[in-house]
Amino acid sequence: MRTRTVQFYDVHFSKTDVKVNERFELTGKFRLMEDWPDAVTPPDIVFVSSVSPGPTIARVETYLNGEPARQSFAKLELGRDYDFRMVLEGRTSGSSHIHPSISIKGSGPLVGPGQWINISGDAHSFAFPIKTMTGLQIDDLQTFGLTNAIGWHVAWLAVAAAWLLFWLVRPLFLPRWLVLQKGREDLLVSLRDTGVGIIVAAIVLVMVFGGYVRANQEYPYNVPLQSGLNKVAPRPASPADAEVKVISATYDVPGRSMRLATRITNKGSEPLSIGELTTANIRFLNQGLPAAIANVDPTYPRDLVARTGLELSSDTPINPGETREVLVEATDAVWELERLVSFLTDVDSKFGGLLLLYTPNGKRVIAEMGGPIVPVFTELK
Amino acid sequence: MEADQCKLKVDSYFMHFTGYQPQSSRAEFCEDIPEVGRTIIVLDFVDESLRDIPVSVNLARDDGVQRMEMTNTPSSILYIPPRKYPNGTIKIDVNFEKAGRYVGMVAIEHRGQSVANFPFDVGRGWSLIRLLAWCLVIVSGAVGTFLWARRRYSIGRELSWANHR
Repeated sequence: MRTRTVQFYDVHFSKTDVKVNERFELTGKFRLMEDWPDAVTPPDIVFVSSVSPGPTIARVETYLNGEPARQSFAKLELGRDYDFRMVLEGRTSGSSHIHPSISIKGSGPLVGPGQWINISGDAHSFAFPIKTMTGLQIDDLQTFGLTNAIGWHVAWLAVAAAWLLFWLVRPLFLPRWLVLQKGREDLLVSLRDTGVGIIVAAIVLVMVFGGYVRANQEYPYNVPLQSGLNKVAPRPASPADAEVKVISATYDVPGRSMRLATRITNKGSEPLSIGELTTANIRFLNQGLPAAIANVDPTYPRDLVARTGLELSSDTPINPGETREVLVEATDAVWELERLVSFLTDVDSKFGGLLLLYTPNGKRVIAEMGGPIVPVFTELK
Repeated sequence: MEADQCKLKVDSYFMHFTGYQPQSSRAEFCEDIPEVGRTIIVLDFVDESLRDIPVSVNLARDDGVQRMEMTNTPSSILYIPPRKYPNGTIKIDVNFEKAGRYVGMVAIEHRGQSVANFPFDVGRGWSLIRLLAWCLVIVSGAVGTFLWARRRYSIGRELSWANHR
């Protein structure tokens, strides 16, 4: 599924070592695959976020295609690209694995490549100061209103406990049931009970309305929680300079090797060389192509870049207008370690990915590809 | 990978163990190999740095007497001398001719030699005799339950008839 939903690329972490309270940026792009699996809810309601092991970082700002992403976005388009930018801040010290994430309502989070971020310093020194639109200066958003929240919880718990205790000290279920059986409901609720009930109801009403009036006086200007959906246009579509068709695809199960027979058509005006196959954050590079190597950001997680890269049956550039059949082989343990291989048991044995091609002057062309895949045991004698 | 039950630890490094017998099943095995015959065992390196370290493998019959050596001994059925695996995966294609207890040994040559053993059984899976034995147990249980229920029913009827009289 992960190979056919969201493909992250150009992911960049501005820093990998930060101090508590120090900000860093996580930027990148993602493609929503055209061949979206039926079993995954389409990206009709999407929230852009980051994934971390607990509250080790604070997310300060998020943008999708330059627009603030405080809320979820509606109806992102399949087959199109979006870029994101997040401003994050170190919160607790330690080494944290941080990922960008696209949460889709009905499907859950689809995470991008994760990088280890080393956060140093004292977690107790972390503070998140903000100034509201009304000019109220909050020194630390983490603890703002905490006393108030605890006070209200204690007050409500006290009322609830008193009410419960009042009834618990009296005869409970069986005696009351027997009274009911005898047709003497009038004995169940005494005048004293009614009086206590009225007093408790009055206390509750005073607390609700009193709290409301007090909050209104203290914060006369407020904005409701934002639950509406934003819309954002995708990045401009790049010209389809390359078309990639998968003629056949096999996965050598014990060999941890994906073998693709592809038919590539150069529809552009410059020769194209295959530079990279990327799928589910894993990258297989054509190590003979300097432009492909240069495209790997130094902060990209090294464990997601396959060591031996991509093997191609033909490494010479594909000329404009030419259609060529190329065998592409991507071998690495990472297929198994990233749990991407469920071809043996899937009812929907398909895969997807992006093939990155480069012109002689290093311009990148991104082509989506995918199709059915068959598991094989080629080495079986 | 944190909750991986098929993990193998050598020194401070982890490997993931998978066994296949594609001639009899499409299942993956974590520990024991159910049938004798051709088997593919794959060891995937969880730790990236293992790819730069020479690794050797020795599969041998565990006779319970001989001390296991990380060399090609008479009890070895397959020995792969130390070499590096840049792909991060070792594929072992082996034919287990006899059922029994075996031991796999993986050694890494890093600051001296570190060895990890993974004992496993071969050919103690769902053989025809075991399958028949289990069928016999299930059928016996079903027949016994039926006889017991019939006896209870007839006792109940007799008591009820005696009460009426």
